[in-house]
Amino acid sequence: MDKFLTFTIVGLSTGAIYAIIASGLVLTYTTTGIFNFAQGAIGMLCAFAFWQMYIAWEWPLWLALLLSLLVLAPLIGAFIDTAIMRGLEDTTEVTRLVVSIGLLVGLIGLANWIWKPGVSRNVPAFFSGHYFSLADTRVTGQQLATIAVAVIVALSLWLFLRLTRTGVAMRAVVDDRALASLNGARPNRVSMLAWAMGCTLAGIGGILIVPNVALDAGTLSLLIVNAYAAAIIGRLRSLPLTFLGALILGCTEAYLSGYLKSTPNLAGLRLAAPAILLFIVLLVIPTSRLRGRRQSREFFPMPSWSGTFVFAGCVVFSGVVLATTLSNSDAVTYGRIFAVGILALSLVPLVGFAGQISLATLSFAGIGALVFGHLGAGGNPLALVLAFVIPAAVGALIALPALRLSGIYLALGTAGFAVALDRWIFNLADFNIGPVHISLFELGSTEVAPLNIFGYSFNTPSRQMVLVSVAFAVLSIAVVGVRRSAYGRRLLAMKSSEAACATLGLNLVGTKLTVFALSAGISGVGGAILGTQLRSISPQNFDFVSGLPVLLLTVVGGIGAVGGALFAGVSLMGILPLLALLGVFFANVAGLLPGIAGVGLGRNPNGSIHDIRDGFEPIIRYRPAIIWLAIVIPAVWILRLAGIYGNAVFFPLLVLSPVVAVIFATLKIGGVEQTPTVEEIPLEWKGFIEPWKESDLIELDAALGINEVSIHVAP
Amino acid sequence: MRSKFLVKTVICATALSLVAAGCSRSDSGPENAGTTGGGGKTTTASGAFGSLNDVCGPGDAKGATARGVTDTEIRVGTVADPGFSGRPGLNQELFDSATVFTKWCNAAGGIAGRQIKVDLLDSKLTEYRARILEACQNDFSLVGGGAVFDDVGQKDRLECLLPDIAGFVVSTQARGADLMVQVVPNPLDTLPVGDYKWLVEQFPDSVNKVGALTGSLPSTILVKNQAIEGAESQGMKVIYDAQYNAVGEPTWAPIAQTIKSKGIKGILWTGEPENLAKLEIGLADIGYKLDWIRADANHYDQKLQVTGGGSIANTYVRSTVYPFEQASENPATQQYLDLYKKYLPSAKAKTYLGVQAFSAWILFARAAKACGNKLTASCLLDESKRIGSTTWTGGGLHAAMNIRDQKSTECFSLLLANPKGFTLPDIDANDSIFNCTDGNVLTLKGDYGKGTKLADVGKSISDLK
Repeated sequence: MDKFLTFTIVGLSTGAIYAIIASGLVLTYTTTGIFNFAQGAIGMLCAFAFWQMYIAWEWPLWLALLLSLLVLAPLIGAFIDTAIMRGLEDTTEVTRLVVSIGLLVGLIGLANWIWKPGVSRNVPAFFSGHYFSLADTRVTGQQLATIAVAVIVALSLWLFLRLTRTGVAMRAVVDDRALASLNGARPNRVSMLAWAMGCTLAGIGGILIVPNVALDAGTLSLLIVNAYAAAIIGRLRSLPLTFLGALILGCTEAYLSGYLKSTPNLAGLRLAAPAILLFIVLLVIPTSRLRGRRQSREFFPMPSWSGTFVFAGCVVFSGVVLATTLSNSDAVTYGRIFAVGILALSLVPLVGFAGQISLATLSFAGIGALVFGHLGAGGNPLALVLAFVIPAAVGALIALPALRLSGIYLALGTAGFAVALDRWIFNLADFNIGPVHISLFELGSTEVAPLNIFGYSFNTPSRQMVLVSVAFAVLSIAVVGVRRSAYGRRLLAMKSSEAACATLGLNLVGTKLTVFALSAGISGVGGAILGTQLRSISPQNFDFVSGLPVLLLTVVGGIGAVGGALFAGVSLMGILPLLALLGVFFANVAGLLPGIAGVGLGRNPNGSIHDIRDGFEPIIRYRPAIIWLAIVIPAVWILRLAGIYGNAVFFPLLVLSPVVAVIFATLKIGGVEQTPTVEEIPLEWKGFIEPWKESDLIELDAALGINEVSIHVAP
Repeated sequence: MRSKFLVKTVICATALSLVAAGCSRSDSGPENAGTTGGGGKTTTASGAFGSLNDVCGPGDAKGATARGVTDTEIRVGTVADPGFSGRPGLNQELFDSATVFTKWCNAAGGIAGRQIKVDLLDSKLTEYRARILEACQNDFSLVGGGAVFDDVGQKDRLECLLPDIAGFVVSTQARGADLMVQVVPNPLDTLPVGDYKWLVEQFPDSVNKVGALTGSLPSTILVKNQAIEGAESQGMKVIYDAQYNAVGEPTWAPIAQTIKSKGIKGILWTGEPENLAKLEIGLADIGYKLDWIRADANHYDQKLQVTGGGSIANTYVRSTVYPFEQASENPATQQYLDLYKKYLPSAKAKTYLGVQAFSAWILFARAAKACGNKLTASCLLDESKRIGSTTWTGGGLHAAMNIRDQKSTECFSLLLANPKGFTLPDIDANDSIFNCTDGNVLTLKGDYGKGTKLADVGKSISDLK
């Protein structure tokens, strides 16, 4: 009994930390409609600023707290609202989620730029030296302060949202912005206040937690994953329930620590508990109402077969060119472009067509790589099939609880799955389930044999480069096939309006299950091929955090088109590392770029790939440009193969040729065909729709057949 | 990608505890070590180091006998991870030791007259394979390097028959790999247990109440399992086996409370200094004292004191390198510090890995010199093992190592951490400050994986020229 009481107290003090973080999440969601993945990152930034003021510059405690919590945090919130979130009004849930992920990535990059990692920074505990004993444990001053703050925060927020006019206005604005403004609320001001408050809460959480944890950008930003379960228990709208959920979470962790038997296989369970709890809670949440039609600015045109085959051909051609011109070590480094492209491709049907959200892409890739590594002895191609099937089955299994849910719950469910895999399952040694022996990463890393088709082994970097580009091309053709089929139309219908689908009698359950399975299967194949390139895989290659930039850049590129997947692969594994090679400054910029691109999504939610394609329009319409390119590019390549010049000359030439062609073609035939936007005003309406001009008189005369009559018009 | 850095940051820091010698990047001792000159040999243009004469010097070795070897030059590569964006400067000391050694050696005349040209290969945590492929093009051997994710390059290294005189190794594939000579051997089948034996003798009441803690990374879990086998062989009983979140624990209270409620007296810790400091703060917060905590060599780091402050107590760090606090009493260490000051004054000299890497370079130089005109990969490996023998100390830099058989060393010393720094407790030293006794090494019974062998890539030792 004494032990139970002791661990309950420990659990309560842990739960208090989660309560503050989760309250901030719920507040932001209830008042802005956006689930802020970057909540922890904002707290992290405030914590760093606090450290800088209190420890580095040795300012008084009250001043440092005041400036970081009441000046910096609200300013950050106001900035985020005005500059980023306002522009996201009529975009889908996915876009808004991805923008907050972009913010997360960008803030981490910013913090690492300003405060160089690798240096030990510490904030001492508050009220250190003060404690009081309770049961068999002691509650320190810091823990007491945390609990007190958590209770105060929860209470005051609840009262604020319920009883004050501003609080009610905040909730109204999320519900229906137009109606709220008609009733006298000021939506812009209210949402700015909401963001400011949310960020201040994040800052409070960050500063309170920082004495326990190392002051490290990534660590602090991602601790928040633990608190998701608490926010979900509160249904993302009830603050008292969130508080309760946080306490349950803290106590669960404490009991698992104190009571769980110390066996090697269960040691990771405590770490995975928040994620597993999240999953269980999602299972019992009542079904959400079927979504009606949402106005959104996203629009993805139907891809044409000819365009797709040209695209696939270009991909394979570029794979061959890279394979024949890059050195072995460069082929290893840049071969990952297409592998990551395949992972990004798996998101296109799921997120782009069907509008579902999955954050577990890399986990499925890891499962596929494991399957290929263990079952593909000698590189058996049949194992590649299994690397599709087994992750697909797991994907369908994970989708089952998600069937009733949508949007953010689905995203969090997949995040919970990914985190549970990272922290527990992937770290397990071999085990048996009945007669089946399951072997994972074997406590370190596992070997993956190169693919071997009828004796031809893809065991050199250049062969692997060709293999992965062919795989990407084939899979992108398959994805386009999905888009153009009846199944694809069903997916788009589901994305557009689930309520309408149900009215028409479409089977949403089957559709959701199959699209999840398809996406997981493609990830699995991508993971298997990535595994053959790495030759030796470990859990760190497939963790949850690494999947976020893939989703981010695919949406930035254009989640509804296979070109967006290639964009993600090229930027993540090609452009960013190349930038980093230029020096420390550019490496820092490279760290910020994905974040900046993500937050800029509001301007162009369709992604950049359409703009890029539009840029190439002139070439397509101007025959001589195509012929010129068809001659120049192979010629440049052949000259390189003959050794006339090296890569330093070859690659700039290769990149410049299409650019030159585009410029030339644009000069010859003009830019993208503009559809006329200004309609001709009918003669009868001249002078009514627009102010009367002299030229209108001349037009009238000409139309009436009256020539050269001048009538003076009064000025 | 930048977001990978988080997990990889933690892995790099923790995984380096795998090795009997770990990683340390900050000043490890009080400032006065190294500035008071003792009776040690000061740097001259002579090629002698510590107790070894003629490490480097003029000569007339000739012949382009292998890749990277010419009449006048030997081209070698050193791998490390300082370019990793999540932790800039990670293991920079490997590059620094390479630079200091090659400058000193070339000034003294080179290796039997051939100058050393070193390629500093930055693997940035995720590009080890790419760097190995580059080294396969140009370099005669890898010397004095090490990378956190060294599993991904072993097959490629063996395919191009590139030898490695390693500063440290991490993964199982590397620990048991062919064509490798580790200057501080960290094999898969033996484990040093002398420090466990000493702890059992000093704290007999703690023997039945031992706990083992590590981060949630498969590589450190493996090392923890080996530590448990070693500890239990000496009579300890591990009753608490847990993991902490390698990415970061929001609070250490649950773990600290569990330790208290189980009455744990000693902890086998496999992790990194900052997290150990946080645990010790957590224990101090609930007012619980342990008899001992045993940590690997990478905890010989001021970060422990900076983070933990007054809570650091009863923490024993295993060490095989001569401590910098007593450099004035050890000519080799003093000369090492002097060479750093002369050739790279801005670098951090007082690091474990720096010393180990330097020892690897010395071994390489002597072996290459012994090969003379017949400088080939197979000669290099054979001579390294012959010269290293079973008592290699790098001229006096560290405890005696068994290079010939690549087995764990019988020697150890312990450093006791306190809030101000480190002191040397009495461990019945019989070889300067080290305790070298038969029975300090255990042959492991568990299966901890196997290294990459030549047969795995379709080659054999006869392919090695």
